[in-house]
Amino acid sequence: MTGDDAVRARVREVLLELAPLKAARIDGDTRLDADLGFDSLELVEATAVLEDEFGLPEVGDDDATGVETVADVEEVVLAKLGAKVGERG
Amino acid sequence: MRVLVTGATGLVGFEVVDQLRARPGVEVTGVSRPRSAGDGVVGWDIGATEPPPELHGEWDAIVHTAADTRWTMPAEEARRANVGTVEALAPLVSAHTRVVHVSTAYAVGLLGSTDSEALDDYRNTYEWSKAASERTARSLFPRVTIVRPPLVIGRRADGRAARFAGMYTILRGLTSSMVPAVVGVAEAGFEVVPVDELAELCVGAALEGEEGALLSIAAGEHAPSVEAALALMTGTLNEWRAERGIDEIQTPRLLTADSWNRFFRPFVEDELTPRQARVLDLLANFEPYLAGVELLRPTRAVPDVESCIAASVRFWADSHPRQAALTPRPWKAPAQT
Repeated sequence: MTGDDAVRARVREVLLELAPLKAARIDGDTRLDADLGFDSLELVEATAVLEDEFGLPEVGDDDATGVETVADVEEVVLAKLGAKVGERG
Repeated sequence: MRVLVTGATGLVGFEVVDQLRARPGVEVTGVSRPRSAGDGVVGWDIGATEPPPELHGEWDAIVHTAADTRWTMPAEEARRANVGTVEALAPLVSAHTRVVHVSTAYAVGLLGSTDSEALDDYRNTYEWSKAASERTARSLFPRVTIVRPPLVIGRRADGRAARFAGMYTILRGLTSSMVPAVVGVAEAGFEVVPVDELAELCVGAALEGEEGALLSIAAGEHAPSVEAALALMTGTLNEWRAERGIDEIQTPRLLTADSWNRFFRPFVEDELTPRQARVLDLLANFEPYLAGVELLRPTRAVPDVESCIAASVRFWADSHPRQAALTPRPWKAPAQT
């Protein structure tokens, strides 16, 4: 498993724990609202948990624009992690 | 006896199905939206598609728990979710079918009655649509019982809940740095009921109910104050955290709407991140439900809801350990930290 794959797996684990609808399975195309039942407030709450889980700086509204699927969330987390590594380097 | 339960994977429906399955001589069928169906539950997008073949035939009772409980829906969406689903049951209801319609204590809106069709007579589109759903159920179904609960939490003994809304939103706000203060009246009643006692009422109404009855369940005079309930929620969560070596969280300040709007909010507004501002707007929907100083007068009073609150907080924390263990960030904009 690559580093990116491990991050994706953890993102899915977090989303499954928080999802209002208990999905039998989850993949990149799984929709946050229609499939997992997240409403706007619950998505904000999930963002706070993901920030804590990965030690990310606060994810702003700009980062979250257009985020609709599990794969979209994974990309935001990977990008934020990349930025964090870049800042350190 | 053949009984249909809608919303079978939801908070109330899940418990109703569970209790009906334990009754001898009762054949239970649960339905839910296709995306959450499975495990013996039939998928049906009520109101959007025709009933699937499994639902054809005569029903002795239907317990209708399916609803969208969000307070922020556009009116048409709320109508579709909470009235359209009642209308869609009509083909399944015969002259002898007993229908139990789960409504809400707040369907009486601002006027204390479900009679008005005007949105302005209700606090939000949810209340308005649930009032309309009661009127629709009474007009369409010959044998109907209406059941009105306030906010619903987990089971009395172990806090088990299939979904987490209402009280849990406040709970999640405590740990995720999103609730700097709770807007409400300290001495107002905090009205919640355990889902298993609500389900018992629904099952009793479905199997032996009285036609045309209006049943309400609430703590009423047993309700803890908002201040006591918040302290209990925080205290229970802190016990859970202490067992895992996690720092305590603080009980949020309790402010009246007047204090919040006139003094506190203008003071913190400049420091809010866009996320915090949006969350505060969404949480403002709770305000009327934490400020009700007039007691609900239920037909079934629930004693000792404090133990149910504590059990529910623990069950939620056990099933959402990451959220329950979060360390709240200081209530300041990132640029100023």
